[in-house]
Amino acid sequence: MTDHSFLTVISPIEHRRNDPDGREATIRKTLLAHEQDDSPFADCPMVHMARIQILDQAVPPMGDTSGAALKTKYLLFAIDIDGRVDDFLDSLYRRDADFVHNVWGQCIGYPDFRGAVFFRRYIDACSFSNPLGYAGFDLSVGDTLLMLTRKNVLADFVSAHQGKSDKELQAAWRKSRADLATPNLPKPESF
Amino acid sequence: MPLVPIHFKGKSNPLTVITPVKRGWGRFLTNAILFVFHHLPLGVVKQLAFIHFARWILIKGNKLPRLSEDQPVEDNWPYDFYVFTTNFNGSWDQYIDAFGRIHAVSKGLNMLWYTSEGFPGPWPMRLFKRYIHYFTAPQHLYYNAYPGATVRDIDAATKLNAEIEAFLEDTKDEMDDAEFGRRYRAFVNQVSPWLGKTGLEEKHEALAHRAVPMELSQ
Repeated sequence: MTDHSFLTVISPIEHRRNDPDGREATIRKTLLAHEQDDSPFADCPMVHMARIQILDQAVPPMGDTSGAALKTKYLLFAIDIDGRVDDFLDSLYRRDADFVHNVWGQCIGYPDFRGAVFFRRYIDACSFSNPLGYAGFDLSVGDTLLMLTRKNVLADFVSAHQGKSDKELQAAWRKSRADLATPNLPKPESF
Repeated sequence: MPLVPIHFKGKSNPLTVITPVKRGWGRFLTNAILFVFHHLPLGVVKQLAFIHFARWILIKGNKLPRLSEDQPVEDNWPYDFYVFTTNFNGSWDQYIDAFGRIHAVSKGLNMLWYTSEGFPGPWPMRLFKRYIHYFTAPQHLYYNAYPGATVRDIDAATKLNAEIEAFLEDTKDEMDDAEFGRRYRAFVNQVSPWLGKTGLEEKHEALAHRAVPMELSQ
């Protein structure tokens, strides 16, 4: 059993036309490079799921012809994690500071200084609390990976030892016990 | 020309829906509804067994972060944002169908989105799907710690884990081969419903690709 935390962050990116300083382009390029593989979140063992989205424009209600629009582009960041948000932010900064600087470092108001504490303060200034959250299960990331791995190890064992004699079964089980009790855990994102 | 994947690898899909809510009474009512749902057990959602995570949050449109004097005030946007984010197994159509067709869920959703401008209700499905599609925001980066597992896989692994622990304890000492065989077969019979193998199957990952957006490929 573990406590899930939800974090929702909206950071302003750019309000001028045509992205004169290339901030938005830098963010898009960085996100594109980590879109499927090599995610910086894979090195943070408490992250279940994460998403980052660039909100080019807010969508007004259907039929609204008033011209209502936002003046700034925003970056939406939403994650589901185990434990405390600050621990996650420290972990992300420690593992991939370049990613942090190429994404949030490009946003309006990010301090000119490097360091996890400035990242934490910035995220705190842009975060929104008290969501109505639902988690389909209460396991931590580590426990989830452990249980899924055990499931696969047992499935492999059962299928490999069908039709064996009782003596062979017991001998094989004695050999495989350690793999089931303490299996090698896969890296997050690779399971 | 470089190509980028059009959908994310693995068995769960992300969805973000951002709907506009009128300020004033709309904001007040939304907060009241969220407060009520905070104190309700969401057992019905659990029974659906294909939702990893879901959340609803109301973001005040006039409280968006303004972190520099140069950044303009957002005075041309009269709505709040009602942000719904979720990760689910299966296709978008199946997911939205379940929302509309399961009575208890559709009643809950009707309440949760009641204050969103133009929300047609979960029924008829055609209008509901059009509404969700219209307000869906595109994903630019999505990460999942266990892309090869569905919620049902995790549920099965949790049930299986308790049985494995018990059987490991039960068989920690050497015993008569026939006795071991009897216990092993009873164990396998018991856990067989949860034994399906889980994980990413690279050869079945049919990733479609799209071209890199023009502004990045120049």
